[in-house]
Amino acid sequence: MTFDREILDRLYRYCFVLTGQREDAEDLLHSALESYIRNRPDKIDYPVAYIRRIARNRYYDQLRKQKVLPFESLEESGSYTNVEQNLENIIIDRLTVEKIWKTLSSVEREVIYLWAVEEMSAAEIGQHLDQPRGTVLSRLYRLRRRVTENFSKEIGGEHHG
Amino acid sequence: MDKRASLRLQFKRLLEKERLDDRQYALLRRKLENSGADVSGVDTYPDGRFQRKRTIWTAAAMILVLIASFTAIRFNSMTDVESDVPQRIAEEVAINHIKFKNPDFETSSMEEVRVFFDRLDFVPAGSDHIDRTSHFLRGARYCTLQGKIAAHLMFGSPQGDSVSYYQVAYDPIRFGPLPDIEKDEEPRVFIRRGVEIKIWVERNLVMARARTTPLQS
Repeated sequence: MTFDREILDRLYRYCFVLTGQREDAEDLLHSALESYIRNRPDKIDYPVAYIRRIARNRYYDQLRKQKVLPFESLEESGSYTNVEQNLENIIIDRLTVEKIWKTLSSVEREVIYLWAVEEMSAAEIGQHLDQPRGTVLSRLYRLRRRVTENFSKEIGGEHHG
Repeated sequence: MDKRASLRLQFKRLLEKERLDDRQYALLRRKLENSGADVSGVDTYPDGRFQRKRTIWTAAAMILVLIASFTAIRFNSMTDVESDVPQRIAEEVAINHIKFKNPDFETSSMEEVRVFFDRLDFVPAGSDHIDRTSHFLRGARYCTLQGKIAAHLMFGSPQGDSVSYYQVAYDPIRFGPLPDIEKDEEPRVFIRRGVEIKIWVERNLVMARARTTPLQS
């Protein structure tokens, strides 16, 4: 595998999403790459996904050790119809998005990253995170509700195009 | 007024701004090289919108280096550090200036710039050659100059001119003798690809200024 700058930037971005801090992201990326180099798995179809997983495991191991693993109560709802599309339809400005980003937990940031940057569907995100699609939809649903409730002035209505 | 866009696009834009700076990339690259992993060029973007642009700049950089090498061989016996380094700095600065990279940190305050650059082994300094009356500070970013971590300060003017200042700690062994303006020596001046570059030493920092040569009417 060729570690060009684009790939390293992608991995760094993912670590930043998990940690929420640039310096911590750099440390996490170093640590994940060290682990990858040390183990050198022979047959890996998607090394980027593999390194991302190492980073993710390391990050949550660290949180477990510090006993600061985020607790989440995911409400159950039978109706997540069109949740992805409804989220997509929110029209918003950059400053508000920056504000929203600061309110997200690492779990939420990761889902948003996979949805917005990696452009994965809820099913693909679920596969990536080893979680049911419904759990991912629930997170997206809650995010949408929070955005529309807490930033209603800033978003000023939704675009239904 | 800030432009509005879909939530997904705004998150994407926000997150895609997060990239390794040159120092971080250099560290990772060294780690991977030492491990024997396959590491390609510093500015290689294999897919997506950056690839074409990067390829063009890489080709331009190679041509510049070739021209510079040819000129150097033709006109000088360029084997010593003294005469070669300013040329190489000029090439590097010209290419960086033309790229119009976005600042890592947007500010108009020199004080905030100093706070931002917490990974440097020096403090970015003001200079008489930085004209604050006709140009305003836009922001700053980390970069490297001849492999050393450096500060890149970006200035603009109401007329739309763009001026870049680079500062790096002066290492006489690496950079050789350069004109010291505190000893009343004049900066070295180069023109590379339509960019005027001045290089000098001030406050024990190597400073380089790049600006687009004003159009003559």
